[in-house]
Amino acid sequence: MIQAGRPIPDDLVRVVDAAGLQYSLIDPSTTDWRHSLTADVGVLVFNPCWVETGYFNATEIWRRFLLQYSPESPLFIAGYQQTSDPNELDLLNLRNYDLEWWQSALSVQMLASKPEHRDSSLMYKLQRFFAGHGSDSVVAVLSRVRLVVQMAQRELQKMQTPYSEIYADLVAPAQLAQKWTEWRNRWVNYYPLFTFTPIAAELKSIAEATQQLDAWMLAGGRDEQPLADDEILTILNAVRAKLQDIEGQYVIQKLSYSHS
Amino acid sequence: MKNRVIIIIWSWRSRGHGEGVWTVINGRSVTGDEVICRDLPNSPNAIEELRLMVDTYRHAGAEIMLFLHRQHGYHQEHVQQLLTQTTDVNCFLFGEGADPLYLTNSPRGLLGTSGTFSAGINYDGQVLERTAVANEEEQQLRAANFNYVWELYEEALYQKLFELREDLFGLLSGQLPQIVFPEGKLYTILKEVNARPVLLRLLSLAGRIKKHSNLAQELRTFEQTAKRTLTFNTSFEQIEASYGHNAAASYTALVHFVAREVLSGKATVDILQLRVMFDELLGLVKTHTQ
Repeated sequence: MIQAGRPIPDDLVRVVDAAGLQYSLIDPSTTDWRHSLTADVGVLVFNPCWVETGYFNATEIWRRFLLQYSPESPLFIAGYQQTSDPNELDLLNLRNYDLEWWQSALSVQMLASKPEHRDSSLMYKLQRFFAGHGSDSVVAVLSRVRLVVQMAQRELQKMQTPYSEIYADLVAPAQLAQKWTEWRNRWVNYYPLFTFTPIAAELKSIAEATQQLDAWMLAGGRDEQPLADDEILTILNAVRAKLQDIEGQYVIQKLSYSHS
Repeated sequence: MKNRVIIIIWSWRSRGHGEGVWTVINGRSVTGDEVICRDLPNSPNAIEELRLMVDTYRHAGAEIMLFLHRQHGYHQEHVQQLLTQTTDVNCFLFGEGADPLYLTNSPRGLLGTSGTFSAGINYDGQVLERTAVANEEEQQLRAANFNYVWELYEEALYQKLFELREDLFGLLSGQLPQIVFPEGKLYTILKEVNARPVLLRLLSLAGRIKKHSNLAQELRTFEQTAKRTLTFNTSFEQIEASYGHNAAASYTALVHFVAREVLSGKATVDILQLRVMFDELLGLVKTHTQ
């Protein structure tokens, strides 16, 4: 059961217990729970979840996550919507969900994708975060920063150019502080939204990594030492790789699973 | 496709850009959409002047959204007055920094500080600049901000209703599996301290909160904390103009049910019936799906 930023009805817990099932409450910013997913162990998410100042639908992101990691696992959706769809629980009518209902649930690969209301869809928000393939995309912004850092580091380490020259000719004109602010602006608007999604762990890791770069970037890259020590480029490479993984899995990739 | 016009009545003359017309730009293309900035305090002639403005743009074929700043003296009665005199306009009240129209509340908002389209936001001790301006000299705004505000306010009623519905059922989750509440029991639950934001919104929906009252101020305080509009200022006329007669009738039915059943100390309330009424109305005012 994934935390959703809102109270979990005691009645749901009673129904799960009455069916003889076990459950545990998962914080998706951790990852160790992922290894326990099997055909007999599924994920229950609340729709909508409550994040910061609004209700959001995380269903489609969870569906894609399970299709990748554990397509045999069932995905359950619980909410206050009236529903008779497979794998969906109506929290106002929980008497209908006995053990047989849970056992006959469909695996996630048998569940069709449902259209989500754009303003509340976290999948849509994720697509907006990566939006603008080409010069405006978040990965492109980060790549521009990384390119400058990579070039500066190469000149420093391999050509042994004095950093004062590198800074004047390459780093200062690149306006790293402005570019980093552009990145941060987009990041702070989107990152908190994904607290209850399966990418929370990856985003937390990115947040922690990029925080280490803030001081250097916002100072415009004046300090030579972190560059010489390979610290900046190592972090940038790791962050970019994680973002590209997320983009590849959730935004770009057309999944080939068939649905009933 | 019709061009879209957002008319914003605000404090443009205070220290900001002043009154004028800003175009909307997407990359290098001007979209045809516009933001009209007017600093027009309420007066005996103001509604007529607003009506003429709306009609001018409507006759030119535009879709129109009008935002009236409360601190300029506008209230719900002015919205209703305007809607009886003109058609095809979405009209909203805003103010006190509580709405997503403001950049301080939403990175894709439009309004910044002191009559501008820019604002500084404090984040982790750093000041991040948010702006809706694409080119100040050319008076051009970013399409992303314009589109966000337009789409958000087109959906405003849906969002308020949806959130109220979810908050109400979340509040009642501790009572489950009980779904029928005998005489006055539901209202007793709503009067508990933790239910206050939900109760106030239900009272607002039922038209029970008078302008300038303590309850109105209390709800505004919740709005400032929540950084969004929670008040139901929508009239039958506005819903009919925006969503059609069926939606207006459904809204009226929900309002009557809330006023006479949910907020009654004597009625028995079946929350499944309440859900049906909410869901019917939500279905009629919903516009976008992915």
